[in-house]
Amino acid sequence: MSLVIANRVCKYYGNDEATRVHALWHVDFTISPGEYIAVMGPSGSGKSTLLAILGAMNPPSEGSLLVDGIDVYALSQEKRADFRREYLGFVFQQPQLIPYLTSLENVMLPLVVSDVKDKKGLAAQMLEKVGLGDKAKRLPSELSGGEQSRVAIARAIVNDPPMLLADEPVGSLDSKTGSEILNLFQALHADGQTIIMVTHNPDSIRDTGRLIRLKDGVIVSDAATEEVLFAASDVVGTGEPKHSLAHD
Amino acid sequence: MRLHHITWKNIKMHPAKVALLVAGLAVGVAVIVGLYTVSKAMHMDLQDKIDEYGANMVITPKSESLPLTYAGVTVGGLQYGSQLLTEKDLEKIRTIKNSANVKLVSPKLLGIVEVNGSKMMLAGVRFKDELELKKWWEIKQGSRPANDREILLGGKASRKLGAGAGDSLNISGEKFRVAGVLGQVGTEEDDLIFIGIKQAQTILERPGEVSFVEVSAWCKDCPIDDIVEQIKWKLPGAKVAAVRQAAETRDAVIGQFSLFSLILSVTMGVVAALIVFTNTLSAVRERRREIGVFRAVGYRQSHIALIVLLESATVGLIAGVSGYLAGFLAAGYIAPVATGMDVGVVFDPIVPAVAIGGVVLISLLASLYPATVAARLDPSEALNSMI
Repeated sequence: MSLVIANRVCKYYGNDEATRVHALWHVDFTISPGEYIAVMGPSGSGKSTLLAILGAMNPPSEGSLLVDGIDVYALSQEKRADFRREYLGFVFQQPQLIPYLTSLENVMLPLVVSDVKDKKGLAAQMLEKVGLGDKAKRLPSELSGGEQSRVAIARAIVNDPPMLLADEPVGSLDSKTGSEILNLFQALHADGQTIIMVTHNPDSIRDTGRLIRLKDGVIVSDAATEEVLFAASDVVGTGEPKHSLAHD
Repeated sequence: MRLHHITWKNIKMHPAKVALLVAGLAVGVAVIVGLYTVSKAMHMDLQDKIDEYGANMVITPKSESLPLTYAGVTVGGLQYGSQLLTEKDLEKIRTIKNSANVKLVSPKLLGIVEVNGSKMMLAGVRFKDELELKKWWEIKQGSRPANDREILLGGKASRKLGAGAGDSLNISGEKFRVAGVLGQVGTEEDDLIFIGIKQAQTILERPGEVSFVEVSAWCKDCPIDDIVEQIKWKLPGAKVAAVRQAAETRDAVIGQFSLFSLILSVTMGVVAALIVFTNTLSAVRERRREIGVFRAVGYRQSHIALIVLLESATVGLIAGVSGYLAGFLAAGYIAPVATGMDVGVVFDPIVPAVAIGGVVLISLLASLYPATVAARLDPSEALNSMI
C-alpha cells in the first residue's frame, strides 16, 4: 500500500487563465513506506512548492494528496496541523532552531502539544541518536552548523513521523559536515524511515533509492537513482554522476 | 516543557525589550495607583477631619419664632411652642436604623447662674463625651474633671472669675472645684462654665432636661442625610441639622481631583493598550519564521495565539506588580507634598488586585489582534520565509 498518492496535483498563481503562472502541472506519483526519494530540478522547477504541498502547508490548486489514506487538504486548518505533527517531520535548509530554547527543548518542540508522556526522555533519546546527547543544554548559538542540523533532524523525527521532508538539508553546510548529515539520513532510512529530500546538489542523492526530476512544474523523470546515475555516467564513461544533473 | 515555558524562555531571551515594555506599562500603572491612593488618602483624611470637627449633627427643640418688628424697628422676638428635649430622647437616638454609625451623643443643658456676684452661662455636659467630641479643646491649666464636683472653665470665664485650676467656686450655693481651665478657642465656649449635666440640672432645677444634643457619626461613607431623617422620625419634637458645609466644600475639591485621576487613568489605560498592541504586532512580524516552525511541527492556530497571549499576560503581570509597588510607595512620599495635607496612604488589597488584573486584561485585549494575525499566518508563507 502506498504511503503517499499525489493525483494530478496542480499549483498555479493568479485567477486569469491567460496570465496564470503554473508552479506545478498535473503531478502524479506515489510513495511507498520506507522509500528514500530525492527531488531535483533547477530553480523555479517547483521543488519547494511540491514540498510545501507534501508538507500539508500549501493546498494544491487542483488535484489531491492522500497520505496514509487521508485526503490531506480535505482536513480543516487545525486538523492539518495535527496531521503535520503526527505524520511529518521537517528538515529545512537552515536548521531553524528556536534561538531561546536549548537543544533538548528544540527537539521537544513538537511534543509540547502532543500527548506523549515522557517528552524529555524521548527528546534526549533523539539527541543521543544524532550524536548530541552531551549537548542537550546548549543553546543553538553554542552549537556548530552541523550540530544545529543534527538537532533539527532530531526534532523532525522525535514524533516518529511516517514521512520526513527535507529541503536542501546540506545546502548550507561544508562538504564534510554535509556528508555526516547525509550519513545520518541514510541511517534513518536504514531504520525504515520514509524520506523525501529536495535538493539541487547531485552529491546529496548518493544514498537515495529514487529520483524525481522536475522542470517547469512538470515531472520529467521518475526513476531509481542508481539507474539515473548510471545513465548519466555512461554518457562519458566515467561511472561518476555528472553535476549537469542538477541543471538540466 | 509546556507552552508557558516557551513564553517564559522567549521573555528571558529578550530582557531589554521586555524591560522597556514592562517599564512603559509599569509607569502607567504606577501613576494610576499613585493617583488613586493619594485620592483615597485625601478622602480618608477628610473623614478624619470631619470627625475632628466634632459633631456633624445638632439636635435642638423644635420651636416657632415670631419676629416682633414694626416700621423697620425690631423690638425683639418671641419663641413659642418649644418642646423640651429630655435624656430619654437620647436613648431613642441609639435606636435608629443606622445606629451603628452613631459615634457619640453629647447632650448639653444651658442656663444662667450667678457665680461670685457675676452672671455666667453654665453648660452641663457629659465630660467624657464632650472631651472626646471637642478634640480642639486644650486644658491649659489643671486636668480633666475626675468627679462630679469638679468643673472646667472657659478661658475668658476663668479670667472674669479670677479663678484657676484648684480654686473653689460657689455656684448657686453649691461648692465646686475648678479641675482645669481651657485654652481660648475664640468661640462662645470661652465664656462658659462646664459642669456635669446632672449637677447642672439640679442647680438650674431642670431635672432630666437637655437644651440641645450634638451627635457625631462615623462618616466614612455613612449616609448622613439618612441619619438626620431617622433621628427626626424618632424625635418629632426636635429639629435636626447636619453640620458639614466646610467638609462638603473640601469634598468637592477632592471629588475634582478624583475625576482628574479617573480621566488620566483612562488615558493611561488607552496609551498602555496602544503600547502593547504595537509592540506585540511588531514582535509577531519579527517572529514569522519562528511561528512558521511552530506551525510546521504541528502547532495549531490556537497554540500560536496562546503563546502570544501568554507573553502579553506575563508582561502585563510583571508590569502590574512592579507598577503597583512603585505607585503605592511613591504615593506615600508624594501625597503629603502634592496635596499639602498630612495624609498617610493605607494598603487596600482591592487596589493591587484591580491594578494588576486591569493591566493583564488590557495587555490581553490589546494582544488579541496580533495573536490572531500570528495564528492565521499561512504556514507555507512561513516556510517560504525560511528558504
